[in-house]
Amino acid sequence: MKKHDVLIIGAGGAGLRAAVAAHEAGADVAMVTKLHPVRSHTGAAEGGINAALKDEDDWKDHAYDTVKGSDYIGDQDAIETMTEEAPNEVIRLENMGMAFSRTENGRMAQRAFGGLSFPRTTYASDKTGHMLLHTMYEQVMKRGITVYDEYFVTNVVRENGKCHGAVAVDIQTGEVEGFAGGATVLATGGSGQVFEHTTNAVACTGDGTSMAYRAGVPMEDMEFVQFHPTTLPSTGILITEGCRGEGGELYNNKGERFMYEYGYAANDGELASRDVVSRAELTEVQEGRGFEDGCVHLDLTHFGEEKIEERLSQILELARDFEDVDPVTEPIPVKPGQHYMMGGVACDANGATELDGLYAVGETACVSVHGANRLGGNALLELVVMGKLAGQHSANNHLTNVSTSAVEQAVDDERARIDELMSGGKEHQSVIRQDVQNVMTEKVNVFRAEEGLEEALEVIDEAKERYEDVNVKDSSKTFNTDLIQALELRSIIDCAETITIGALKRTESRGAHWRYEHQDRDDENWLKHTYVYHTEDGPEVKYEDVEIKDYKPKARSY
Amino acid sequence: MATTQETQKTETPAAAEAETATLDVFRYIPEEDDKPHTETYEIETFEGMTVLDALIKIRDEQDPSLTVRHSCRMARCGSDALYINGTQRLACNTQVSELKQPIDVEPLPRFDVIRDLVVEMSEFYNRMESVEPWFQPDHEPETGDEYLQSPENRKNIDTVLDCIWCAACTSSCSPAASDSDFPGPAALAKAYRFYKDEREGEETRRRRLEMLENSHGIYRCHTQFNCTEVCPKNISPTEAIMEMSRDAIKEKLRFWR
Repeated sequence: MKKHDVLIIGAGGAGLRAAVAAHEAGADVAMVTKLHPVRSHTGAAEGGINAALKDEDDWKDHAYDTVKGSDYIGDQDAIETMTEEAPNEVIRLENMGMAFSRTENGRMAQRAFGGLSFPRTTYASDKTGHMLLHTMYEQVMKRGITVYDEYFVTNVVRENGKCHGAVAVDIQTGEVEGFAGGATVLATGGSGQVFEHTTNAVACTGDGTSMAYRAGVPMEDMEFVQFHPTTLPSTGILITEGCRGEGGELYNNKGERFMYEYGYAANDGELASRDVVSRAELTEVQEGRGFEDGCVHLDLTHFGEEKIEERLSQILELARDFEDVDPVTEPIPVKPGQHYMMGGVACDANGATELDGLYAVGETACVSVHGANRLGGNALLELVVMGKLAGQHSANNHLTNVSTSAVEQAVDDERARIDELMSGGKEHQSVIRQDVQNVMTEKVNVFRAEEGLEEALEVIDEAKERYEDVNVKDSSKTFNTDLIQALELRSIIDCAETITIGALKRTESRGAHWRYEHQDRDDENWLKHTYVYHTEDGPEVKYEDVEIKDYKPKARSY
Repeated sequence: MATTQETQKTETPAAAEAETATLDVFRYIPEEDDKPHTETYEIETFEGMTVLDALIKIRDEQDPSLTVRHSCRMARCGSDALYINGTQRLACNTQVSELKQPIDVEPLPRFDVIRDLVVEMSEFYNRMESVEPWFQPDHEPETGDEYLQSPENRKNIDTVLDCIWCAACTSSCSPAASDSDFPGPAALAKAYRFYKDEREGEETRRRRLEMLENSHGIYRCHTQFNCTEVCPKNISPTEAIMEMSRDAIKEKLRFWR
């Protein structure tokens, strides 16, 4: 059994930042991660990181933009913490060597982004996530922090109202290993693989969210799923909002800039928030003004090659390599795709959950700073600000009071579960996974209707039953990805179920959640967070009022 | 706003004539196989299919035991560098239609195989770490908070910043294969990223050059440009190494022995 004061599960931006903070606070830290850190999906973030760095800017404006973007359901205290801390944390990244793009006078460059009242998105070309991820991993190497890579954590250990660590499969050997920890910080990223069309990596299967849920911690606001307006139709690969921030234009098949022409966002046009743009695009398509494959066109051709090369070089590569389109001379076909989970493990601004010793941070967590819709450039920010806070706070927990026997028991239980999975069953995991992904993409997408949501729940219910008799065909212990995928499938099903239940019960439209039968926001009844608890008899839903402080809800338009 | 109840559907592209591809895939499962062998798979292709798509299709439909590392599928995570038709490439951004068939798929040469297409990466990671790849400024930030960096200097390091640690270059490098003390192309490109970054200051720059300037360091490069040819991110480690070598010689820090 491995023992550490603080265990960080997952090694993307949030986990790495938390590890550095916990280490600086004096804790013995280890990272346990199913991918080597540099393989994490933070690296795929493109656009940038928001911070009110300039004298003419004010973090309070950033806070207001974020509250408005969240459609008034974000936690205003936490949003203030994040936006006030933003300049410090972005400067900290710079001081760690992160290669931000620069202005003529050598300062960090910033650009416009959707839903922001000031161009405060600090960027590194269109590879901001890549630079952030590598910079943070450099800092972890520098400090000699232990990293157990290619260890897939499958459960956290709960006993007597406390978390004692986690259980992981060593992917290379197939052995189950126990990790005792004073604090366990879940930083496993999002769960985009719940959907068929997503910008997320195949590793984004909601493992941390599901583990916390099964340990009795509620999932919060899972129905709020962000669909990014510009993804490549054939693969779901992300085309950054930075394209529109730099002046990219969206067109329908009549050659109209529909964001303005049809009044979706009379002021901000293409730079309205993501939920607004995604709905506008699909409305265009449904009304017959789209292109093949349910797309609209994103036009950058007026930029000229030099500007695209300099600021959006990755977009050039991605469009050319994965869609066979050259953005210098022709528009890029784009459509909405699942991108981000606003919901996740319910926790406070320190990442602390209801369960003593268990923390969550980053996309895994729901603080909530994004509410019903996240603004572009606020995800990387959340990783570093909340990563730091969770790391510092978790370092107050030490190995004392940790029950190693509880961890041993959990290892035995997990071995038994895996043996059971390997012992053969009826259906292969990939078939069940695809059924869930397909129904989620068809019925729990940008536009949601009661009937479709109910249908999706039925498919998910069946998937739960089918999972009881799931089949892992690969019998090897060495690097058994068939087994890993079967383990991930449970997380996918948990997330799909809580997303759909939350969506069905929320009889209003708010932010990214849009209901056919209830097309308006309903502040009277729904200024509430959804909490879904895991019980023996299935999910149990509770609600809690949103705390409104300085920013009172008002109509949201862009 | 939309009032229609329809949810969007993924349209199936007009059925092109079903075409097929044949892949000869390196297989090795340590518990089952005494030695590696080649397995031949035939699959139906679709427009835009990548080698990774093909491998996933084989895994999902024909043989769930086929094992390959992959995650982002957009040439960013660097997990799936393989030896495809005799060249190191990323499976996820290599089009099946552009390859001669049967497509030969093997793990990265000069790496130990764990299973099938999965290789042991720890030696590669150690090489990366050996160049102290973290920011080491020798002074406080000029503005009190941030370090200043000219756009030109930022552009200079841009040539190597995109490295995704896929190890294609290191696998292609014969000096790296024969000399385990040689950091190899990826690690030296990473070293160059800091060496050229003016924010670290002159003192650090000199120290970095001194650290790299020896017979197991930058002078070990044979300037064969293999690394440059295979890099999926169009980085040229060779040029970075040559530039550091020229600087070292110019500054007469030490003579090449």
